[in-house]
Amino acid sequence: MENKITLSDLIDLLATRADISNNESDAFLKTFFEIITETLAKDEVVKIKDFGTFKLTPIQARESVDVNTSEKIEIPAHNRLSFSPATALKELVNKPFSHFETILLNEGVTFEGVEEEIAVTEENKDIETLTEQIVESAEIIIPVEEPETTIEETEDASTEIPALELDSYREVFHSDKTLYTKPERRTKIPSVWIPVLGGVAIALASLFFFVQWQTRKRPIIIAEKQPVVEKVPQKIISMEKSEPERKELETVVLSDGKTLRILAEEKFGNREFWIYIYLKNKNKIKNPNVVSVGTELIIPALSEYDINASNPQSIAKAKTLGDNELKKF
Amino acid sequence: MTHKEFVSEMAQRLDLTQSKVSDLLDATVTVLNEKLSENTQISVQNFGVFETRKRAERISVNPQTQERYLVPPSIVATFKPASGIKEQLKTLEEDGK
Repeated sequence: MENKITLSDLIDLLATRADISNNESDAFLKTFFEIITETLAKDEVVKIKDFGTFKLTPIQARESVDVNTSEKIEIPAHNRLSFSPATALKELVNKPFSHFETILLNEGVTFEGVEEEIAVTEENKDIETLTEQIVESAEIIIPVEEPETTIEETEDASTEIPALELDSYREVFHSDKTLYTKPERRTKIPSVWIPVLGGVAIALASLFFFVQWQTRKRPIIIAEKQPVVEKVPQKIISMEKSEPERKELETVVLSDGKTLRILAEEKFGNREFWIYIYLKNKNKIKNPNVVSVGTELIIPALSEYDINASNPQSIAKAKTLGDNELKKF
Repeated sequence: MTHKEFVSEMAQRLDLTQSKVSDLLDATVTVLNEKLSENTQISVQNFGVFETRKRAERISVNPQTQERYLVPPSIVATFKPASGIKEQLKTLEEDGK
């Protein structure tokens, strides 16, 4: 919400988009808002396709208390101008959150962040909240229609990320001096790769000598090294696949109903360690609150982030890290 | 007033063809929607402000079945009418009744 534009910006934007003069655009937009206002003044609904509906909602007179004098006052009946966005606009605006679906909660399930809200909805069971809840439960039906868009979204996301990385990778490749924070590990590979090739060549040569008196350990190491070398010249996508193999890290495909927290609990014994799974897979997860089903997650090694469920300090550190990270969203 | 009526009203006032107005209106809506999806606040003098807000996740209870649902957070487009137009429409109602 940092960006703000005004009518004059809007006029410019429309003029460019529709390829008309600024004067025409100016006249058009002014008439646009004028008609909406005038039609509303006639107590009519204004409906604009793919944008939304403007209408007047009558508000009944009600009693209230003056904030300053605490005297009873009556708020007279009046109209309120309301705007309800069209489905197209709703979906567009909500795109970042469209992965979410309304979930039926089991008995006794509580959530750290939303606990207070449970209390509100559960305790105040007077008519007002009841009617509100009816409206809310009616809304619940809506997400059922959404899976299609959700699927598209996830596909989009998964194709987008490699493409992006490929670009930055190429950039790095062309100008060796540029260092990116994210693909840092990868930028080293091109320079490392020549010595590695040499090293492997030597290793292969020495293999003949070693094989004769060494036990079976050596050949295994070489067998492991070879696929890595083969994969280095390939593009990022194969690199990513070889990464977990090389480091022998466990990967988990996120199944339905699982969250990072649940995963952390399973793998590390404490849910606060979810942050490390997130950090490890940051390139695949745009928002730690929205991890789509089917995402392949690398489970980091315990040593990498100093994960120890029996150490309260380690847990506390993970918690502060996680909380800080969540503030960004 | 439906979309069609709106288009014809605009065409009349601007002395443009309906198809032209329809195109322009589509462009306007696209621009507005695009800007809103970028979380940009659009303020129009004497009309109001369009902006997006984040609605926090909440738990809603179906009063009939007592089923509890976790409703996910969402971003919604909102419109806040300018005070001038708000007052104008407020009094309009009082006059009418």
